[in-house]
Amino acid sequence: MSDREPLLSVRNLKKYYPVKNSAFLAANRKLVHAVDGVSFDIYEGETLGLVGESGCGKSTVGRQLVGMEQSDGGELFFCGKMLDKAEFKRQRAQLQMIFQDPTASLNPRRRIYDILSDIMVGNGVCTRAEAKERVNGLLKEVGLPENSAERYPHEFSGGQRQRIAIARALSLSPKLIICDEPVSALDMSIQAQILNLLKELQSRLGVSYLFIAHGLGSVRYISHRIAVMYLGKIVELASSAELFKNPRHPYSQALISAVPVADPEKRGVKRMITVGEVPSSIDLPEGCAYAARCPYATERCRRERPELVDINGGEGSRNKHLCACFNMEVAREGVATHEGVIVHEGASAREGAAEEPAVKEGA
Amino acid sequence: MHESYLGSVIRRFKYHKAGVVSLVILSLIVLAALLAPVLAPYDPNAINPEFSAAPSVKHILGTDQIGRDLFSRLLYGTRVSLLVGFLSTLIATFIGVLLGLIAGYFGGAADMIIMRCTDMVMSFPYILLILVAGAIFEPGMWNIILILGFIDWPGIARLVRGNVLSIKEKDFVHASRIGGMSRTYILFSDILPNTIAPILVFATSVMAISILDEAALSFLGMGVQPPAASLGNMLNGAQSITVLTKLPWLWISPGAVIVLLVVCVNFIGDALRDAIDPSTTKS
Repeated sequence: MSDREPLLSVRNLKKYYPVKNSAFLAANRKLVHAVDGVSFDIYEGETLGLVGESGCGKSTVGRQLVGMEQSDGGELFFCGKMLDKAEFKRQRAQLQMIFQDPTASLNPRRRIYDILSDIMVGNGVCTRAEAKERVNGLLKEVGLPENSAERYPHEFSGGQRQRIAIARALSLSPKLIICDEPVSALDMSIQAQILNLLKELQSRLGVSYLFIAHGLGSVRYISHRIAVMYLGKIVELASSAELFKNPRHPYSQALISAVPVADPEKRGVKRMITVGEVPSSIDLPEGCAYAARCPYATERCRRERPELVDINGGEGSRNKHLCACFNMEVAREGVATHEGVIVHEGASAREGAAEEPAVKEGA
Repeated sequence: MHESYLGSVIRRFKYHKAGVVSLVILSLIVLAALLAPVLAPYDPNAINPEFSAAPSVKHILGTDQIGRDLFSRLLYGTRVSLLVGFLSTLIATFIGVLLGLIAGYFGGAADMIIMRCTDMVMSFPYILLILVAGAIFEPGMWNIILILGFIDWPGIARLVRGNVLSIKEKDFVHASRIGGMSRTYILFSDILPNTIAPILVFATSVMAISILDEAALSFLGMGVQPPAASLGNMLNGAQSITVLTKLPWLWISPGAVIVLLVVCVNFIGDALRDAIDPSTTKS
């Protein structure tokens, strides 16, 4: 496959959940717009980070890719072919997943050997006779001691368990692994080890990752490109370096500003603080979903919905910098003039205090 | 050092003192029941010249009103009670686990039908059901086993269904599905092993209840038929007030064995629940 050809293309993916007990008649039933038209590409050997706060639909996207959830619209293309039901069955082994909590993702009643060998034998990767060797190979690959195979998951620490989960995901030699917040349940010191392991495996095996997380810290370290999601939509997508250097969407700016800096010298640096509540994903606002919390929001933002546009003019989707905001020029100015010292206020809060400047010093 | 799963189960079982004592007592009772033909001093149905004799050297537990040796009858009766308890529990567990797995995993119409059947069996007064069944089929040990087996399953089915409902949403089941494992694999390798502990504990209580039910049925005359002995129909002979007050050896020993069996089985169930779970780490 050429470098330009994406491994996985997601086009206009949708997932709506019906709200229970909302109305007796099906016609009046309200929907939660968990994923509302998401599109992105993942290339071979690449990590795409997917970030956003809780409930923005990032995990649902990952679950749809591995078939844990049915889509309510949109198309998936894998290796250039459309992933319909038959094709998905054929490619199933190519799409694997690492879960957030390794305690829940490993069967407590089965030895590591059983967990790893069953999945390989079940998929015809190897025979029972070869399984022992394959399992030991996998354990070595993820940096676990050799005698681990005979043990039960509860005999391992959290980090080691996540290594086992990674070994299981690798056991079918997939092309793409969905990592659903794989380090957020782990200690800080262990997180780095797991991230390094994932990176190392990628450079050795050429596997691609969709790395889902709610903070930018770990995502920045591992991702080549990052997509920022807000309320079921991607609001900005750019290469990792570009996004951190030149964030254009006000929400991305707020997220980046929220990343803790491990430097006591910078203790005084002001942060952007997002205030206000995330609008309900049942009754989505007519205009931009972020307008209610955005300091730059105008009348147009509340009426119209901004689409993702490329502001980089780069060739191929790999080099694009996509952003969905009407006021990204203003947003950039805001960062430049106030050195990131911005308090985001909700629209209602601002109405109540018209005298107060929209931009003030944050703590 | 690393230990086998069985080894760790045994180690944890040992911490449950009441369970260990119960296991020893139950083993002794089972052994005595198995060796009844060897241990029994008399034929359990043979009539001896001494009627209603108090315990003595010749008859260690005495004789009943028609002169049968009570110790011999107790051994054979325990045999019957244990067999009824064990086999009917086996049948009930098998049916309950199977229906519970199907109802919980597949849901929808299968769940609906199975759970309504469960409700029906549960809501029916079972003594009546057993009496009717006992009237249609000939009363006897094998029929008792089948009747109890087919009546005791709803509790297990409900328990298994509930467990399956929660386990099937766990990430390791999702991981198996994403890994393309078959339904059979997910049901029997992912879900069933994680619900074995509660099933075993519940099964021990079903066994205790089956033993009691057999005793009750035989006491009512719908169970094991005389002259064959069972713990229940030995109590049957102790219905009158004269027997209760004047001939206490007729009912004390079978009554005591029933109590002992039920208590032991329940304690063992308790100990098993703690022992089977590999994540309970009492040092």
